[in-house]
Amino acid sequence: MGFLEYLVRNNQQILLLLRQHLELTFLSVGISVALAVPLGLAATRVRTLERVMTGVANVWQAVPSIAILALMVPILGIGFAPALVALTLRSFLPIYLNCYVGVRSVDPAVVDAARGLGLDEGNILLRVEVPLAAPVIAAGIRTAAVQNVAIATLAAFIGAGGLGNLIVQGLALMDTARLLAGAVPTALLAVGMEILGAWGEKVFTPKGLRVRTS
Amino acid sequence: MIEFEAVTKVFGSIRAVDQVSFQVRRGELCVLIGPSGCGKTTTLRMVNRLVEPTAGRVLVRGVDVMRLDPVHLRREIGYVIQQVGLFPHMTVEENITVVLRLLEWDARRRRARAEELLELVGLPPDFLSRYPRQLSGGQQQRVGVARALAADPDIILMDEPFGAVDPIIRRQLQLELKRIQAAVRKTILFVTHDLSEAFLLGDHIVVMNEGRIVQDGTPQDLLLRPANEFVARFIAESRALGILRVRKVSEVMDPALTKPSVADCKFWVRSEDSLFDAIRRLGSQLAGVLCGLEERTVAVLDESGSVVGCTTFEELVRAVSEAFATSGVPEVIL
Amino acid sequence: MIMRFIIPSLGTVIELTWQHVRIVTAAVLLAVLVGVPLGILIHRARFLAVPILSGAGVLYTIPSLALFAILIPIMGLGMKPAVTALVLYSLLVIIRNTAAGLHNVPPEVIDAARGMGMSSLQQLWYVELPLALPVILAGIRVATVMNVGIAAVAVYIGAGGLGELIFRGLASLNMGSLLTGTVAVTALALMADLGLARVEAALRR
Repeated sequence: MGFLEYLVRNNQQILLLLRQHLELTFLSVGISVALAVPLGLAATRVRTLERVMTGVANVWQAVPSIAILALMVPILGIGFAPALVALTLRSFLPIYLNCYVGVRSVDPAVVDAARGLGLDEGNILLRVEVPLAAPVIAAGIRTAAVQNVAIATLAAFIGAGGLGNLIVQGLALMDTARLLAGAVPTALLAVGMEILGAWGEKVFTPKGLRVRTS
Repeated sequence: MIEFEAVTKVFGSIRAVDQVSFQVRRGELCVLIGPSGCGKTTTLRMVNRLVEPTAGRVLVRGVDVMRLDPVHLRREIGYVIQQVGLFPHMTVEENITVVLRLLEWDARRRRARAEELLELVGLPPDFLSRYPRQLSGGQQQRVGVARALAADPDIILMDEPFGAVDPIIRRQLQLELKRIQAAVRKTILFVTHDLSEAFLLGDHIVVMNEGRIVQDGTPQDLLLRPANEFVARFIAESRALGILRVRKVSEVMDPALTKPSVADCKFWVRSEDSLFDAIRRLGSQLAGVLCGLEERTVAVLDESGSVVGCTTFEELVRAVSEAFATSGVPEVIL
Repeated sequence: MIMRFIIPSLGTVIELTWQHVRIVTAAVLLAVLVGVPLGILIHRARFLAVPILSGAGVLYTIPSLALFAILIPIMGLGMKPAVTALVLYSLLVIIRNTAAGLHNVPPEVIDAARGMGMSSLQQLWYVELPLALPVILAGIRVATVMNVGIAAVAVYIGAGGLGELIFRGLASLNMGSLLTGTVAVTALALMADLGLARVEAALRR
C-alpha cells in the first residue's frame, strides 16, 4: 500500500505521534528559552569571556545529537523525559549565544546615549538593547526549533515516540509505506517550523528596523 | 554651575586627564578644544559620571557628582553625542520623550513637549511618527538635540555633535544652536576639535593637550594672548585674520586732544570698527573719492617696474573680503 | 570504561572509524563537486540565487533520518542513500559560501584580469576561485563537521560507521560501547574542524 493510504488508514496513530513530536519540540524549546534568555541577557552585564563561550559552543555542537540522546539512557532511562532533557540541552546553547551576541552587537553609541540620558541599567537592557537584539534572538530560537524537530525524530531511538517511530518501524519491517508515512510528515513539519520561525522573526523585528532608509 | 577641581583620570597606565581645573558659569557656552586624544571627551563625560574621576572633584551645581545618584544626575543633564545614538526602534516622538516617560509624564504632556521641541530644532511636526532610519544625518542630530532638551535640563553636554554631518549642514546646525542658545541660555559644555566652531559658538574656550589644560579664556584671549607655542600654533592659521577681526580701531587710535572736524579729513572710520572693517571702509571711501575709471584702476608692476597687469580698488577689496569669508573665522563679532 | 571496551575491540573500532571517514569524505567531495559549480552559477546569474538556495535550504531543513528514509525506496539501503543524503545536506552551506567568497573578490582584481586578456573561464580559474578559497573552505569545514555527526545515524540504514557503537551500546545498554562511540565521533568531528581550520588559516595568508 502506498504511504498516503497508510497515512489515511492509521491517521489516529499518526496524529498521536505528531502530537508527541510537537510536544517534545515545543516543550524543549520553551524550557530552553526560559533558561537561556535570562542567562544570556545576564551574561552581557558580566565580563564573561566570549571566546571561551564560543569555544565551548563549538565543541558542544560537534557532539552528534544521537549521542546526546543515547547518553541520557543510562542516567534517565528511556522515554519522553530523557528525550526532553537531551533536546533542551541541545537547544540551550544556540539561544543563549544569540541572546548574548545579539545584545552585544547593539550599536554602542545608542547604549551610550541611553546611559547619558539617564536610563538605569534595567531600562537600558529592556527598552533599548533587547528590542534591538530581538531579531537575532528570534533567529536563535528559530534555529533551535528547527534543529529540535530533527532531533525529536531521533528520539524514537530512545523510546520517546514521535514520527521517528514510524521511520524506525518502517526500516525494521522493510515497509516502505510506513517508512514514508513517517518521513514525509516529518519533513513537512520541519519545513513548516522553518516558515513559522521566519514569520516569527519578522514579527519580532521592531518596526523601526524594518522601514526603508530615506 | 560646573566646576572641575584638580581632576585626574587614569586608564591603566595612561593619564587621560591630568589635574584639570576650570569652571563653567551659568548660561555660558564653554568649548573644550584640542587635538584628538587630548582628553576633552573624557573630561566631558566626567560631568555626567559616564566616567568617574580617579582624583579630584567634579562639582555640578556645587555638589560633588560622586555623591549624587548617577541616573538622576544624568536625567537632569542633556547629552548629545557625535553619532547621535537615536534609538532606531523608536519613532522620533518616542526618542524625544524617553526620559519624560521615565519621569512619568502623561501622554498628552509628552506629545506637547515633543511638538514644542521639534519646532525649536526646526523640524516639521509630521516628523514625530517617523523612524530615525528615514531621516538624514542633519535631521537625526536635530532630533538628538531635541531629545537632550526634553526634560529641560539647565546643563547640556555636547560631544562633537556636528562632526558627522557635511560642512554645509554643520554650519546650519551651528547657527541654529547659537540661535537656540540665545533664546534658552542653557549652560553648555561643548567638545570639538574644530577651531572655527569653537570661535563661533564659545563664550569661553578651554584648550587641552595631552590631558592638561593649556589655556583657559575668552576667544579674544586665545587670539591676542596665546599662552604658549602650542596654542599659538594650534590657532595659527586663523590667527592673523582673527586679530584683524578682533582688534578695534579704538585700540589703535590716538585719543585726539584736538579733535579734527570731519570736514577736514578726506576719510573716516568708526571707533568700534574692527581693523578689517576699517580697511574695507577706507577702501570703498577711497574708491568713491576717485571718480573716473582711470583713477580707480590700479597698475600691477613686477620687480623691474614694468607693467604686467591691472586691477581695480573694488577688485582688491573684494578679494580680501573673500579671503576672510573662506578663512573660517566667522563674520560675527567675537 | 572506554579503555576496557576499546582494547579487546580495537580492530572493530578502527574499522568503523575508517568506514565513517570514508562516508564523510565521499559525501564532502561530492558536495564540493556539485555545490561549487552551483555556487559559481548563482554568482554569475543572480536570478537563480533564490530558487537554488531555497531548494538547498529545504533539503537542509529536512531531518536527517527523514531524508535517509525518503531516499531508501529510491536507492535501497547502505552507503548510497547515506552519502546522497549527506551531499544534499551539505549543498546549502557550500553553495552559499562559494557565492559569498566569489562576491568578496575585489572588483579591481577582476578588472585587471579582464584587462590582461583573460577569458571568463581563466579569470575564474586563476583569479576568482583562488581568492574565494578561504571562504569556500570555511563552508567545507562546516559541512564536514555536520556530516560527521549525521553519519553517526547512517549506520542505521546500513552504511556502517562509528554510529554502530552508539546503537549497539544503546540496544544492549553497554556503556563502554556507547561512550566509545560518542567520544570517537566527537573526537573525529573536532579533529576535522581543527584540521580544516588550520588549512583555512594557511590559505588566508
